[in-house]
Amino acid sequence: MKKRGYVLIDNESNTARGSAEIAEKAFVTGGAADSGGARVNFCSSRYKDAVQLRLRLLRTARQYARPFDEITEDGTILFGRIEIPETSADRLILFLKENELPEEAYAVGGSKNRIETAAGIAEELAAIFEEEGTDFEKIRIWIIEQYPFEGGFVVGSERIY
Amino acid sequence: MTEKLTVIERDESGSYNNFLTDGCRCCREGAKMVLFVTGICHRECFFCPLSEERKNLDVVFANERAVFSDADILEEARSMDSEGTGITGGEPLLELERVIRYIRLLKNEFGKEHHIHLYTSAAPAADVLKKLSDAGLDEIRFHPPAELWKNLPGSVYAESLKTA
Repeated sequence: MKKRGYVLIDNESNTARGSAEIAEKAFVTGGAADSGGARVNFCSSRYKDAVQLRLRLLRTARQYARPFDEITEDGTILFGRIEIPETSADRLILFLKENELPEEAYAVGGSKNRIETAAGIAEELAAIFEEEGTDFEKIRIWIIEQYPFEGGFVVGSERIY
Repeated sequence: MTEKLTVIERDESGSYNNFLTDGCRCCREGAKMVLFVTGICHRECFFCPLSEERKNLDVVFANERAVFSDADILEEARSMDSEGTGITGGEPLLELERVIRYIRLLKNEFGKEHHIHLYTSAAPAADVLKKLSDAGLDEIRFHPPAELWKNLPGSVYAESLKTA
């Protein structure tokens, strides 16, 4: 397409310059009732990228999200992740239970060294540990944003403790 | 068309229309799964957007998921709570039997209201169109090659379109 002289309108989209204008011309010459009344639909590349894909992601997120995941308006999910040596995992789970965290509010990863929970709870834990210190060794807390499926691409991660 | 179109109403992405097919309506909800049935195609359209991982390779994808069995397709459809499927490629009609199998698979699993449309740059003959329609295909979209854009009436595409 570049060889044929097509250029993007900017660096943020996949829109070829002039395409919207050509579509508009076709709409006016062919689509208007007094010039044939053809059925015309112009679906812009921006629509495909910004609306259709985002809505599809949102649907996927609604299917996939665990009770504690927060679905962002982009269709990604946001949650907190606690990394802890496997040997202390049971003690941490007990600690969460003692603090009246219901079972659906967290999930324990396969190898037990990863516990995932709501972003807000992760932040609260980080604040408590920050303030009072903790005897959990090598514990690390993250806020993760990722695509809403198993092994989904991680869009962002921030270590908060 | 009775209403006179003087104003083009655009949405925030600059898109507009005076008619939307059921397939488009479903897609606008983000409810269409994209089923890529083969990367093989004998045309060389200058605007082809396929990546190296797909172009001219006989691979199947449901959205971004690589498909190795029919179950992969159903799983992807469920994961997005799909209400319909758009079949694309490559040239889907080079794998007609595969396309028909997938149409039946999806209709059997999700019911006949699962809306299926197909893109082609071929000009399928009446018997092919009938097979597709019998399998349950709801909508077909023709992409005639650029060389023919100026001479569509009278071409095999016009004939195929009329039959469809």
